[in-house]
Amino acid sequence: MKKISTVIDGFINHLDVDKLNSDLEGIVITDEDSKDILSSLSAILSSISTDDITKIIAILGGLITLASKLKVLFSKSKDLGSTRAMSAEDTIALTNGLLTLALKLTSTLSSVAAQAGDTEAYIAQIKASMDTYFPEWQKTW
Amino acid sequence: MRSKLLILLVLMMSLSIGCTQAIDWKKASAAGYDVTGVVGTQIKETVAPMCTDKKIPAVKCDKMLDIYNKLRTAYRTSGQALITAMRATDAVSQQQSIEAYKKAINEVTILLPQLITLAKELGVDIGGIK
Repeated sequence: MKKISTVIDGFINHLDVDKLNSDLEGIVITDEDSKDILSSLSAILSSISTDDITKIIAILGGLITLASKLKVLFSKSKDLGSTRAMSAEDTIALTNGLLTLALKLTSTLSSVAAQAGDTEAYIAQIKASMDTYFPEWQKTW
Repeated sequence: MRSKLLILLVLMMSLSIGCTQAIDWKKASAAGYDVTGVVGTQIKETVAPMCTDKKIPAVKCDKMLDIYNKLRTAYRTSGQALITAMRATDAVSQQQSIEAYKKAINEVTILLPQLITLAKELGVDIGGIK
């Protein structure tokens, strides 16, 4: 079975959000995976160069995709009665962890924009906020 | 105390756009917009599972969901208006977009404190806000 850490590693190497989306199909996430996910994402954050807006936006897109997909994956794991599936509390903790990382990225984006005085960077930050907190596809809670 | 601080932040954000002389309104608006989204999402992430598990009375959940849905619409509307204002190339269209943003964000600054207050009444701990 394909592991989520492998999928994330693939995303880190290629920064392809569409591929990440398709790779996440049919994956079951475990408690152990959640630790791997967060440590992988922390590693990404520490490697980000503050002058690389394109990379930040791509990673942010990946985080948003992950956060939005995780809930679906967790509920599928639960429906399948998988004993390896995560608990609701862990799901919330992991989702919050992803959101925190996304927040750090938007803050980085903000400081980059402040340095550059770049309107497009501010716009990217606003779009990221919209897509992270109140995504178009999620009509309600 | 922390919830009052957050409400104050949101209110400051809505006012920041009028302070173009003193600060960069684009920077202040983008940052304030993000903070508002964080608070709204933290409430959803905490309250929605509690409603699903019936740990909160249904009538309260319905009320919070109604406010949340309105907040979501106002948040996205204000974001679109803010983007249009930032991209405007002439003063007239920029002012029109800023007015649209102010109108939508004003609604957010009314709805968000309502949601926080309701959550607090239910004793819900939202990301450290109690």
